[in-house]
Amino acid sequence: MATKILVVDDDELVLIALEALLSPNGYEVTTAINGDDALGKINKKKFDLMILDILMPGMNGFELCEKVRALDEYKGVPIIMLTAKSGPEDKKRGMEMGANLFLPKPIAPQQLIDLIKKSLE
Amino acid sequence: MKKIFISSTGVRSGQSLAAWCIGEMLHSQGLRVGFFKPFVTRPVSDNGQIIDKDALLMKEYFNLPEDLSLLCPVVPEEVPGDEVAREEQLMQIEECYEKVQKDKDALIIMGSEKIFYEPDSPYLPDGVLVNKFNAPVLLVDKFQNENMSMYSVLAIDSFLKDKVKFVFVNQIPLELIDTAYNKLVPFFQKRGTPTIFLIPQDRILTSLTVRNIVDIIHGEVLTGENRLENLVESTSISSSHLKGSLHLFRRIYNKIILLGLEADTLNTPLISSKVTGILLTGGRRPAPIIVNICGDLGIPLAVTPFDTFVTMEKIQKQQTHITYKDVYKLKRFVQLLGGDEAIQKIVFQLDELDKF
Repeated sequence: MATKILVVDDDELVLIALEALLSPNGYEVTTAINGDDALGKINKKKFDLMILDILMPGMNGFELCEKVRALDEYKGVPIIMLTAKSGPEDKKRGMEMGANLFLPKPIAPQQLIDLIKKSLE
Repeated sequence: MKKIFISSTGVRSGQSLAAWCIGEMLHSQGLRVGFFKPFVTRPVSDNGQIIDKDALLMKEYFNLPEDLSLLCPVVPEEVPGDEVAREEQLMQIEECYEKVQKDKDALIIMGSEKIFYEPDSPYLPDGVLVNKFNAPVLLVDKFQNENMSMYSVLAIDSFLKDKVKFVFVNQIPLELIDTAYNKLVPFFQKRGTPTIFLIPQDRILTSLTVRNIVDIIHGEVLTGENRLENLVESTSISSSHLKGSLHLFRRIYNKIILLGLEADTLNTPLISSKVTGILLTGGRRPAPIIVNICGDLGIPLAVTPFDTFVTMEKIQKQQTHITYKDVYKLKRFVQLLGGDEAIQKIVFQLDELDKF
């Protein structure tokens, strides 16, 4: 069965880009345009990995990450924060909220695929 | 002043040729074209000074009056600098930029092949420079597959907030060009931006001329002076201790042969007139009969002081760089891009962008 990835970003370009990259690599990609949208999708389906943006209107990536981590079935699911907001303070906060990896945008395609594979091991 | 920032998604993407091509397009419209590349990424030593090969190419081709240290000012340290060092780099870049762009109608700004995030890069990321110069971007992408290209273009365009206006997807294998076209072109046409150009892999773009090779291996030409512009697509190495190796000559077309063998033992009747050139390595001079036969057939025959290994290494290294002498590659690239139609499209779009 294909590994399910949820990508959350308020920029539609990023969602299209990640879907274009990940789907042909055998991942089943679901996209969400904001935190509420993401939580709705999480309730309907169990994902194996999540990629979150930080700067989003309404609920930001940190808040979403914290909410996801509070769900029992998501305690061990890898969460990657992929963001243009990449200062050390942001990274620290992301890790505190339960993210496993903090990656600055834009990231090279092969590097992202390798890191996703590693996170899923 | 029109300006365009040439960036790429990785090394050996054809970024130099793309920058030269855009410069030539603008130059052919009668514009005074300038060039600026903040970081030295293709270093070469010139009288103890580190200069950049791209800056040298542009200076020589467009007869730019500025010093190379202005056209490409920053030689990066091996390790990334701290905040202060980066600020100083930016100041130096801005100072040089101000001087270089004076009295120009168009400016080509070239990035450092570092558009994607790299934690240990000694260069300022292209994204920072694009924002600093507020320039539209031409992104050169070396094709791997359609999905990688789509991801790269969209992810970078999102990061640069819609500044990517042109994309050259380069070096697409011929057997994949239709698939790439059917997937990429409609997708980007539907979005409206960026304007995408697909460029196939091409033997002329990856070839050197015999003259290029003779120059880089410090060769002495003994015959075939008038055929030094022949293209060399590949090389074969022959050796004196490989029995029957001279039969290579029968099968070779458009190749250059490096010979480390005793020149006197060359089996002359087997030399085909279709051979592009012959290099004798190790500084050995051939017997007069060889020189005469090559002369009669018009085959360039050259002697190099380097051994075969060093000669091959130098040739392979050179294949990734272009110089102002490689005008045939520039012409070929423009042709593959779509010729006059592509020129008009790009120039028109740059005109429109210049209005805002």
